[in-house]
Amino acid sequence: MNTRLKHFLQVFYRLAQMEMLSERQIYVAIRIKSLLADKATPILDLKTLKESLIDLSDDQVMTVLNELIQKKYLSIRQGQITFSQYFLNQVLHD
Amino acid sequence: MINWVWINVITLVSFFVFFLINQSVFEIFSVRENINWIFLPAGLRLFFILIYRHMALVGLFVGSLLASVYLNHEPLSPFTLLLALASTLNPLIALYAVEKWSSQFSLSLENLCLEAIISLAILQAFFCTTLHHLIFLAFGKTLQENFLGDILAMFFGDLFGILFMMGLLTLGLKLILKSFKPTR
Repeated sequence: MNTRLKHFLQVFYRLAQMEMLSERQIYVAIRIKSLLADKATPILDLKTLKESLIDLSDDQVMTVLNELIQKKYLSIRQGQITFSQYFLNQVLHD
Repeated sequence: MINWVWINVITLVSFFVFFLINQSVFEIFSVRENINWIFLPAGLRLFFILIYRHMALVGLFVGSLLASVYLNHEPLSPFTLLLALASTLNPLIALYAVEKWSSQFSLSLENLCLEAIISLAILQAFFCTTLHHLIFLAFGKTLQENFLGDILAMFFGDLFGILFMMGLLTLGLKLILKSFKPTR
């Protein structure tokens, strides 16, 4: 592919990838990003995440996480949160 | 050579088709001949000049000329030739202007961002309006009572046309992306 065409399409590709997240989802995603920054593997402890979001109740955190699960951005198993590559590479990046 | 022919054929045909679509779909936004509040082919001009630079000039020129003659029913004359030339050259002038004034913009389009494309769109609309109205003035085709209205309509017509095309491209890519589910 023509490299100029590639650069041009990348601008719109990034634009098209932008997801509409709610304010609370963005807030949780930012916290996830900062917690993952110190980790070698992209797995988070659910309890740690809840504790770091002190201004949200457990129910509110779970509601947001369930919304992100619906979007297939993450999954929770035995108290551990794992993330999709799409979420790690695109959503958190943007 | 074959590549050059293909680029210009694609440019010409797509320009003509989008001119036709613009005339039929956005006819209600037409102010008068040559001036429309939404002008989609302006987006195509910017696209082809950004990607193919001088290689697409012939296609854009012939496309503009054919559209004027066959769709706007204007006679082939120095006036239509000059208008087609101005239409073809204005995105190129905008491109070199942005390249000259912006340190972050490069002609290779590396690190191209949305802001640069919008700057290009605004400059292209400005140069297009200026060049067209200079030609209108030279040939006595300007209606004095609506001079400012025509200028604004042409400027925003090009700008809205480019933004509309950008929106279509984004929407198309969004639909393609939606058909691929994210992997876990």
